[in-house]
Amino acid sequence: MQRQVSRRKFLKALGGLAVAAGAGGVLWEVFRPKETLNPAKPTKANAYTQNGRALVSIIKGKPETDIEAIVRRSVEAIGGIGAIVSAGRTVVVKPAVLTSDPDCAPDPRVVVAVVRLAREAGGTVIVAESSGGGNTAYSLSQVGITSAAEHAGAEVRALPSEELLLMEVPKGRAIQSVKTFPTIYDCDVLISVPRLKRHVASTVTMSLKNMMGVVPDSEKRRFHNTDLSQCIADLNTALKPDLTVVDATFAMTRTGPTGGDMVQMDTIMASGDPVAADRVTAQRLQELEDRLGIPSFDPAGVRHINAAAALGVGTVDPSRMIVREESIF
Amino acid sequence: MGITRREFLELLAGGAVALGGLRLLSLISTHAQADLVRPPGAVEEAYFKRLCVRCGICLEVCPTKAIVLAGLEAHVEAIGTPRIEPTVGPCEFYRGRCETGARCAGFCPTGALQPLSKEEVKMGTAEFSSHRCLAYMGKECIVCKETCPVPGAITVISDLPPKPDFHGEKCVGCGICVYHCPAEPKALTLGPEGARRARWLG
Amino acid sequence: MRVGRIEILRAVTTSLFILFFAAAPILGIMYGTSCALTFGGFSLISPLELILLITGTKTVLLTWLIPGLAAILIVVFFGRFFCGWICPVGILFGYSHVITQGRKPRLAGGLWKNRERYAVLFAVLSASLLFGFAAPYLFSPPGVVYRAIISFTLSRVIGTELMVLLLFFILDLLALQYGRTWCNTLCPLGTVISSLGLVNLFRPEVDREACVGSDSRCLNCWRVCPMRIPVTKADRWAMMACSKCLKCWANCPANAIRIEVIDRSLLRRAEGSIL
Repeated sequence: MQRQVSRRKFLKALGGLAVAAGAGGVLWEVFRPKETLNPAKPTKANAYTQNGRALVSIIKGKPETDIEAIVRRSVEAIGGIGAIVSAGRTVVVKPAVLTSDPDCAPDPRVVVAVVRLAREAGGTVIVAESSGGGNTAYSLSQVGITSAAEHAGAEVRALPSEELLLMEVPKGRAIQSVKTFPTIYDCDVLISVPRLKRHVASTVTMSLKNMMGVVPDSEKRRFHNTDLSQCIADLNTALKPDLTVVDATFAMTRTGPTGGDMVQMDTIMASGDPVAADRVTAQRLQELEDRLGIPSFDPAGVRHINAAAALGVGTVDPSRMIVREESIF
Repeated sequence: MGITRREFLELLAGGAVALGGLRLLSLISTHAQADLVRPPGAVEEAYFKRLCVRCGICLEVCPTKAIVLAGLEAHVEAIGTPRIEPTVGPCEFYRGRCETGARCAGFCPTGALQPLSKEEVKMGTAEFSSHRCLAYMGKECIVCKETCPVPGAITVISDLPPKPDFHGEKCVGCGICVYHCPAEPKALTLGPEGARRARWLG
Repeated sequence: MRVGRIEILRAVTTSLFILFFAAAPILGIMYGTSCALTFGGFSLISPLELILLITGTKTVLLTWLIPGLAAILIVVFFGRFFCGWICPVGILFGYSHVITQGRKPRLAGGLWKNRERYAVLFAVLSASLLFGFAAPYLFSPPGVVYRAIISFTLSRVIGTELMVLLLFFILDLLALQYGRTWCNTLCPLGTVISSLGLVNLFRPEVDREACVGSDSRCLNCWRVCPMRIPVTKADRWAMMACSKCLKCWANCPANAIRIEVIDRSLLRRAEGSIL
């Protein structure tokens, strides 16, 4: 006959399991890692200045021939990648990817150029993004960034799969803390790579707004519910990009961040000051739209750029900037 | 094992009673006729509820988790059938997420979901409540327009701040705007109005 | 009441199937539930669902026939093993009585005999044919349980399946007293599967010489059979209801029951037709 378990033993086992589960639950409640408020990352001064004035480079070239040369020149013109990246540093390259539409994202070749620059300076490069318009991993691969960046030696991370981390925003007016990702919090260098685009809500979207992609979707919702422009400014006080490289090979005009008209500009702009970068690129976009007869906007009236300047993230004052404009053909 | 006449009559009577009960249940069910937003390519409802074997394959293969199985939202006969729930996931078939045709329709073993082209699909229409919309409350938000994949379905009213304007006739009912709307409660829901169903050619 | 090793094994295999159905779509190796499933390019449609498709739409499509006939073929050869080893609700109904003190479920005889299920099946199929109402889609227990599982693991939503699961617990109160009454008298899927197991591999065979039943009225196998089969005097048609639970084999005091792969009389008949 078969070995049989008596009813009493069976019920005892069941009871034992229940007690163990209850005890486990209590222990878990007591010892689980509570949400800690991490201190803000130390603020670093702009590494690309001359005589205390922020450098902004605007390099025009022939992207069809050699887009990488334009990107390299834009960084060289403000001081070179060595000012922020040295051997062993972790560098996060953050492209602005909204949907799977390549027009909305920076050209993968621009991202690759930045990746290569950082690696040549000895950095370990991670291309990271938390896209607000759909599945990040899918969008990153559809716009061509995943394969290109991996080929260039970077690790590509879709941030939404990471555990969230709560961080202080001491200078924030609308928000005092923000949830972000360990990849962003732990990195040494943050490089923002947006495309030059109009935006229906925030007028334009460049480097400052690109930082929305370092917070999870729940925080993006909170920003919209609170005060989007102020939250963008607050966010940039705590998570400021050390270098901004704006892809203006094609600019999205008339409207954005989707569905606008792509106009060829053949330009790359770089700066260590995201506010200055945004103000200058906004001006160039407005001039372009005026030339083309597209109803434009007032570059001095973009709320989030002004709010960021007011909080000291950077400068919008032309007397505190040096703009280096070149054409390489 | 033979069967007595009494037993046989008892069986017949039992069967008849059961049939009557089922008829009653089906009448109650069709009385509460609320429509559901079905996945892309769903055939007309009368056939859909007979073709769908409630296998759950469509739910499992959807890349964005847009499909859930209905509970009591509509009527008894719809329990276990698939519907689009944009608060769980948006249907990105129109946007091109499914590459060679809607995955749900491709895997459906019975033909309750037929393969459709992007131009043919209309699962329903997004319903907008301006009193819940952040833009109408004076905040900067136009995420619905930013994420809508259909050109012209959502346009912008130039204002301070800009506000969305919805054109239901262009809407394909994908629920992407509903999924991304950050308002709490959301200013958008997905309704079955205007849905175009596939033809059942059986 | 004591729980045998075989019963524990069956509970384990049922749990493994549940885990498999939950994990397979995430890994992309198989999609579906007990109603219909697909793996690689190969699909199966449950026999009951196939019949309901035909009666409900009054058409027959080739795309249903192939997966449906494949499933039917499996049942024709292996019989009602689904009810014994895979259906989670069947296992639940079979062992609810373990919790209650000293109550043995009434099995043979009892409240109803095994014929009611044909009346139920007839009603269900007529409802589908006459007014397109396919009741089993709503409450077929394995379908409900598997749908609840995949709904929860993939969408994190459980929906109305929870309500129907509660209904099963109520039905389960019946099972405390009457064992697998649902399976034997009401389940349309069980009825369909029972009626298809013509080859019925792995069935119990009684060794007439070793069996002490006719003399000393042992009839232990009748008492333990959850499908209410009179094991010692069942012909091959009655044996089609066998769910391969192995309880008769495990509980025979004279070890007179063995599990035969194939019915000897079938083999003899096949030999006869060849010669």
